[in-house]
Amino acid sequence: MKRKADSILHYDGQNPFSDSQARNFSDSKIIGEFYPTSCFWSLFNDQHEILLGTRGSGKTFLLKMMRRSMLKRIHNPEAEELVQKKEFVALYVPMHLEFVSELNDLEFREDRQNTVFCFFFNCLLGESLLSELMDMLKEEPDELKRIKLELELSRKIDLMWFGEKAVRDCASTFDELSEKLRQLYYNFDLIKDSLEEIPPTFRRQLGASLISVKTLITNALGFREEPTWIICVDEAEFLSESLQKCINSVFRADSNRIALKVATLHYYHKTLDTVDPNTVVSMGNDFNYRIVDMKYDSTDFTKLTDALCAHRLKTRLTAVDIDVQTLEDFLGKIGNDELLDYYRAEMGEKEGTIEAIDAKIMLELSPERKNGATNYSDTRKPVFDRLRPVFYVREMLRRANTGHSKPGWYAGATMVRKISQGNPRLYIQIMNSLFEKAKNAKLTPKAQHETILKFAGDFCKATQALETYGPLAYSHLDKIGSYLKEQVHGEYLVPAGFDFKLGYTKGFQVQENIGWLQKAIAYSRLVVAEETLINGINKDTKYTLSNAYAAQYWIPMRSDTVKTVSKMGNRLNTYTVTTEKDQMSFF
Amino acid sequence: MFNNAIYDETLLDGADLFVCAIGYEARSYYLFDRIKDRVECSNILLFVMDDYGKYEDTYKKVEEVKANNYTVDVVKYQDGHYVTSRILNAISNRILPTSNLSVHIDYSSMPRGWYARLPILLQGILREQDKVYFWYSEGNYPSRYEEYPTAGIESINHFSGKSSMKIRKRTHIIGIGYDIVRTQGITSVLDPECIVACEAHDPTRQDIFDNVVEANEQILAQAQIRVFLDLSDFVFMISKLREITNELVMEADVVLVPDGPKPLIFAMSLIPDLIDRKGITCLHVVRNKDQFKPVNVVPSGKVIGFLTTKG
Repeated sequence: MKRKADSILHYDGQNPFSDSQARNFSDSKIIGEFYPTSCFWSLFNDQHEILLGTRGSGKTFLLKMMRRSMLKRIHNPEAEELVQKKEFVALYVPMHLEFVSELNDLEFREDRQNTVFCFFFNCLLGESLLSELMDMLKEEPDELKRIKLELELSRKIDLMWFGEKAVRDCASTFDELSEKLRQLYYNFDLIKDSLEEIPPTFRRQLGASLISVKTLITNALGFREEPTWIICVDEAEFLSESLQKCINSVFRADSNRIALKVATLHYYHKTLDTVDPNTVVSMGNDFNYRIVDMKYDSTDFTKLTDALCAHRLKTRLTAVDIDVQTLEDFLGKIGNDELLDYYRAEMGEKEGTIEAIDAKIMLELSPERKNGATNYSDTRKPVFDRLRPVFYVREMLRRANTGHSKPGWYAGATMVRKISQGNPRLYIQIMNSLFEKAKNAKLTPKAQHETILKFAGDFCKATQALETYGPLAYSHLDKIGSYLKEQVHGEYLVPAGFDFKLGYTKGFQVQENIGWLQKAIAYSRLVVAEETLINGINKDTKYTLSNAYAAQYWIPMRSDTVKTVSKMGNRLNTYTVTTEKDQMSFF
Repeated sequence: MFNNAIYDETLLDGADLFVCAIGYEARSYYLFDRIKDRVECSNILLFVMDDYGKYEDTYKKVEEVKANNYTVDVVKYQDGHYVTSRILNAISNRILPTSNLSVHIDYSSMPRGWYARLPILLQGILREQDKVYFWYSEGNYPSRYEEYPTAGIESINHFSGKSSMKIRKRTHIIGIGYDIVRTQGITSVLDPECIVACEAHDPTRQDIFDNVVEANEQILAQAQIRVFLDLSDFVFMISKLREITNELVMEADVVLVPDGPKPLIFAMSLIPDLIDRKGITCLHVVRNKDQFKPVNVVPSGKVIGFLTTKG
């Protein structure tokens, strides 16, 4: 298949994959890039849900797209039906770090902190509500009616929120109302002002700015029946445990036709407590967890990667006409884009036949396995099919280590999706690197291999800097990666893969290691079963190294016998700085 | 409010107040050694990190300083409020109607939380004739960035400014330096949106610039804007950062994440308070205590700085 990436050789425009962050995207950009995964439509329900996903898994995209103002712009029958039926109205409320950390960092009593959080949250919710209302009003074709409706709603909402007694002091447009809200928000001094200065609606409970006005909105806008209001709380991983209790309290409260969708990282929903010390929430009754991560080989992820690649190249490439429908179009494809195809391309047709491969495999088996293999009546299935992926990786590493050239091994669309681990953000970052490479050189399999391997290496190295547990995660994952690599690349070829368990000892206990393990999972360094994501890690948890780690350590990306990695210990690898004595540190 | 300053011992005299913090780096007491004979003992405010006993050279220095009857204030790294208050009080107490005050603060080895807000807080104290100098002793870099140990990340905290209420785009202005691992950690945690990559270096050290650019290749490729500044020109750094921030905030919230060399951290940290507009915030990155491997930075002999006055 012809590789379309070659068309951009010497291209000097901006890299279309340079931005990977959905939160920055304008609404048009989001709509342009939105691919409705199977998860998306099922979010429209009246349940409180906590959306769990790794960083970059697409949570923000999902939540932002739930807004009616966005659904209207998607050309999709399901979207059109949702808009027409008016059963759900979603509002987007992000918990940006710069917003939340102001609260986290001040040493307030918990009750003051909760009230202030409530106030701020209700302000943001109010602002989001006004934004959606403005959009809904545009559906009214009669301008006079629209103005009257806006006036009526503005006054009524103003009365509910601010308790204005005189009509002349009420806002008469949503813009004026929004301005009042802004002044309220900005003029409140976190430290000095009394909580009594906050209008009661805003400090009463989380969501009160919506609860207090939703019925009058429903009536004014002529909804047949009250919709379910979905409050999409994004970036909840930045909420402290104390603030999470406020969110949990909403789960426990009478739903009032309000459903919360709270997006956070795995293991960042740290408490089931509420603000009432005698009340906790329970999964299954008060809320549900929903995993939004995609598998790299799922239909959703395949279609999403194709759509993103095609869309970005079509809309952002200037002065280059490149017709790309799929990722395979861009990167080219060797055979069926399978391991055997890349092996064959590297080793040649003669050495790439199944017979030649299997013969080599036999040579690399231990004497005991050789005996065992020859005794099978049909050697193919149990022995060779299982060993071939391991054999390929061994061969490719040998070639990489001979020094004369790099193999074109970590290449192709399937490999890019694997390394992305089903994560849209990682995918765009890899594509960013590949595009940069393609600007300066033909994106041959060898060039792709070099770029992908570098990406994997940088990814592994960046583990060190993950918050708090980065160094420990980096050190332990290095040990695990090295151990599994030894299994693969030992003297004899053995069945091997990237699954493992941890061998716990007196000096290496489960509880002491929960922190770095959770961090590694949240940031796509390790993969675990859904059950573990929801119920937690225990001593029997089975882990899988991420594909990026598997690439870095030349481990076949497959499940096989689960190895137990022991003798971990808790000592960090120390850095040895081998330079002259003069150095500078930055902090 | 700000002017660049060229370090010269003759700027100091006995009545001036000198402030510094002695830590594990040799450069933390470089300026102190140079000025101690010029400034009266009682006018030297000396902070010492409470872990000084772990570092042999630092321990010796502190003992020497104590033996010479200097008063040392032993503090923890996180005692930012206390240190800031001490400095402000020391300055306030020295303001006399009959004389102009001159203060010299060596921030080379201070945690950012100690110094980053001082120029703003001083505005309430200084008179027009008073001067406060902020000095920074440059150290020597490793020849290759790969040899530079990472400080990691413990947490990222709000430092100044207020984010806007409306759901807007966000632009992150991120300071970059040798610690590429830390920069990657920052981007992992913050998920920066539109990135403005900001770097500052000594223009006479092209090798450092080349290293930083090479180390930060990925983030520079992702950045919408790349800003390269002269480390010794504090006024220009402030001016450029203000200009960029003012322009960007028209369309998006601006989140400044200072990192890299201290003068850059300093300049970036001041922006939200200088512009005083909603939608501009500054976040500070706290280093990972377990990760951090203290490196004894030896001064290069070059001292850069700026002067702040009432303005």
